[in-house]
Amino acid sequence: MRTEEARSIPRGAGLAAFISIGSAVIVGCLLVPAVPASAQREMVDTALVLAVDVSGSVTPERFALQMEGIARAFEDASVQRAVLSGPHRSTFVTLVEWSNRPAVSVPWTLITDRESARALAARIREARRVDDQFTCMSAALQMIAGKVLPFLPAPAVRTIIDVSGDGHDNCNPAKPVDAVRDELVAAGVTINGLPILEGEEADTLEGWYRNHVIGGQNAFLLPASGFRDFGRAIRAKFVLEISFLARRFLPRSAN
Amino acid sequence: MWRVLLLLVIMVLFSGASAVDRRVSLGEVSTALARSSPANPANFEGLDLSYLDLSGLDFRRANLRGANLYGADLSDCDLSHADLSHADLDHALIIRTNFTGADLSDVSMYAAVTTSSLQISGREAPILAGANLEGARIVARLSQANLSGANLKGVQMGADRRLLRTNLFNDLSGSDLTAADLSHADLREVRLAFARLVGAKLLGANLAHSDLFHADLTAADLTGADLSDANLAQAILKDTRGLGSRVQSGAN
Repeated sequence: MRTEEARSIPRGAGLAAFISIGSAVIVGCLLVPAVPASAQREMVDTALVLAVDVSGSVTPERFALQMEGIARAFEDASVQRAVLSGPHRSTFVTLVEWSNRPAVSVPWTLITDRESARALAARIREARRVDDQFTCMSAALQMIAGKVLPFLPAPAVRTIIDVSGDGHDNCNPAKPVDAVRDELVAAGVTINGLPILEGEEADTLEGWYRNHVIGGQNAFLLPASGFRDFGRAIRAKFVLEISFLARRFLPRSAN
Repeated sequence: MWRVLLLLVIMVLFSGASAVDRRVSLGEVSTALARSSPANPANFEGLDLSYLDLSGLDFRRANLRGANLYGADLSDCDLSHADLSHADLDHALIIRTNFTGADLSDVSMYAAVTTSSLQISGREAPILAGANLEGARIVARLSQANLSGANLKGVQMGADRRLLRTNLFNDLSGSDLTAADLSHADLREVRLAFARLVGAKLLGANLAHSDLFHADLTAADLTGADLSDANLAQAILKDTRGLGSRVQSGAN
């Protein structure tokens, strides 16, 4: 016999619903946000999903370069300034590794100061690789839409997905990348791209990302010339995309 | 007059069908889970969640009573203490799914997938410890699964003529059924080799043609069980009750 009152699923709730989630949430398993109850907020400046390609072409060395590049970016003073420059001085970040199947490597983590940014960097360095073969970007974006964004612990002024990778989607998805992108954009999400121009697909990848991946308000591409250039590119990208927000809240004369 | 009545009946039938089988999206499911808490678990009663990739989600204590989970991917889900009674789990993926203490009474679990490869691995088996599977209809390879303390009273796992024409079969070999209640269960033709049935209740169970090779039936109660043509070779029968004269030669 169940004695607890069960809450009903809201009618009409869907992809757009996560944008308006008003209350903080506590859930289990992989999607548990790494946020102590005392640190939960009513709103943050940015919700940032780092979607990192870990398909077969990404060797262990290339994987390490990507993770180290992201970790160092969060240790960088200019990135930290950008993260903390918004009116709420806070950003939620999560890391999703994607290949055949996407997986959350670092759950939603709140950055409110330099110390929490450095702690996030340490967690990213320790992230376990989810090994697989194919470049299933459509599946990754669908998973982010369906299983990551709804668990954002507090509403964000901006929701950004950072997609990085060295190849086109090669999983013949039932729902093309463009269609998933359009749904996310319609829900108010911005998707930025960091194509890594190295290997067989280097010549066409930037154009493919431009036409099929990025979208939403102020969306942009920032290619890396190879895996060794990833660290520079991701750092520049963080400052750029988070600064969009900061700029909006600066006094007009400061622009 | 009768036309009006007929119309009313049709309207009632259709409105009922839509209420029972309302289709929900993955985003709706996640949103409901995100808004739930241990005190206010999510409610998916009677909803259609078929074919959704729900892998890795946390459904602890959720109400999934009568839900349609046909073909859904429930791999790595935590469904402990969830109410899944009367749910449809046919062809669902239940790899490493945690059903500890869940209410699975009267579920249909036909051709549920419990492994990601042809090789059976205990690490991929669903966890069904303490689950209530009373009256469930199951066709699945639950080899090496943990079913200790589970209520399997009247469970239907027996191979009927139709099932025997397929490549599907029930496999409980190597599973842990310690202290499980299998009273009046239909376990015809079921593979139970090396299963741990210590202290299990098998009163009136139908074990005809089952394979109990090297099964540990220590202190199990087989009173009234049908063991005709069951393979009890090397089975451990210490303090086993209700065997009578039905034990085949070769049992310990």
